[in-house]
Amino acid sequence: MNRTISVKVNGKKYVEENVEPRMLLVHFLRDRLRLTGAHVGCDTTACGACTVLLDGRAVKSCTVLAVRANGHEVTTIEGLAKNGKLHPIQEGFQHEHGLQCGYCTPGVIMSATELLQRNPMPTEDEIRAGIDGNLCRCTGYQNIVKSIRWAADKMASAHGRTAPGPGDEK
Amino acid sequence: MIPRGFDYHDPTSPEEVLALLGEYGDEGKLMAGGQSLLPMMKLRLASPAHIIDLWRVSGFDTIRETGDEIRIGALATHRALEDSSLLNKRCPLLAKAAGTIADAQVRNLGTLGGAAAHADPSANYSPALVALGAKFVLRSKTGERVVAAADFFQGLFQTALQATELLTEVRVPALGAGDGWEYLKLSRRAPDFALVSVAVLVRANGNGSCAGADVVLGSVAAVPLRAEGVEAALCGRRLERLDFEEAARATVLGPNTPSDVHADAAYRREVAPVCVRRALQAAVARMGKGTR
Repeated sequence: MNRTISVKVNGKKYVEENVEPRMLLVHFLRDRLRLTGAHVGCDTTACGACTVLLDGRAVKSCTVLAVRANGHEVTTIEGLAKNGKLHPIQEGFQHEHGLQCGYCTPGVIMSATELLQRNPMPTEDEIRAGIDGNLCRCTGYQNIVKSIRWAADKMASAHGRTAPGPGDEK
Repeated sequence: MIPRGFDYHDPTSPEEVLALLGEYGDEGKLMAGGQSLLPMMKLRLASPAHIIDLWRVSGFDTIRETGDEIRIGALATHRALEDSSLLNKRCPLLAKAAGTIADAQVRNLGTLGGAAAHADPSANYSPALVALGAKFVLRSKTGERVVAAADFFQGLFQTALQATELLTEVRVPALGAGDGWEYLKLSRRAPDFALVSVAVLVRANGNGSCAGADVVLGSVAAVPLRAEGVEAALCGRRLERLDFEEAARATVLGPNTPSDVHADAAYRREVAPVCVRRALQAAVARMGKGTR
């Protein structure tokens, strides 16, 4: 039986009727709410292009039933910029050329968002481990790692912290 | 890819779950994190008529110490195990096995109970749980029973769980401060399933010799494989003079060692002793130094 679900997405509450239980969260976001930032890549829980935050946790939205989001909060790439100002991670990708085709980018940025919330000053190895659920097939990971490093530094200096240098181990 | 249609149930208590299981029997499928089941449903490898989603069942995700046991709710996520300060202190072997499952996103949703009940022979937990001598608490309408890990894993995707039972808790022993341990997963890329995995526990006597060892391999048979030859080769030996190479050579895989596109049986036979040697070295290096 189809359900009516109420989901807070990027701070805005949506009530959607007639949601089939088998509908995947990524299709709900893209086709129902027209939030097309989360991409469908591999569709097999591998590539991470569909990554969004569910209650602050990075998840692959192709592997979550939309009905599970009922009563919960979702953040997509569309929800990161505030008042027309890019999130520091988005800025980092711009400054460090962290993308070419951009297909994987929203997913990588959402993973990086959770990573930096959990660990604001990650080492390079920790950044690489933190995005191991996201595949990029064109930029390569060097600039993606640099972009996240850039964002961590910027967010750290805003909070008066010192970030570890490249290659530093904890 | 979209799963076949199903009736969706989202109970909030174990009693409701058991009632639904009683009602739908084999037609009903429990979904914990959904990180194995949903991909199978999308590929139409599984098409259950009824999904009984455990997403809204609360209270079964705690990790707590009771006596000399750590009791972990079946709905605790891999991420919760990986991050648990209690588990990292008292049973770090399991925390490491949890932290090397798939990737960050999958670990945020996937659960200990779901993975154990799924019983994929290439998954991380089973060798670790057998090495630890874990106990599984299975609840049904008529009561609870406790099953040892070695009896829980029965075959390819097969466990001791009956269709009317719910796995509620997994219990593992707290390790002694001087115990050596390692969990090692060999895979092509970090998030992949293991080609070979090894869980090792080594206990010392007061006189510096090995009092006993548990060496269990994953991904090399339908169920976790205890490397009895390796365990025997370690027992009673002086720890500082252990010949890891020689002990690891006693690793013997069975005649039905799996072959797949990632690794054939011959490759698994070649690398299994290497994994065992590395795991033993790491485990013994940790001995007497507390946990990680």
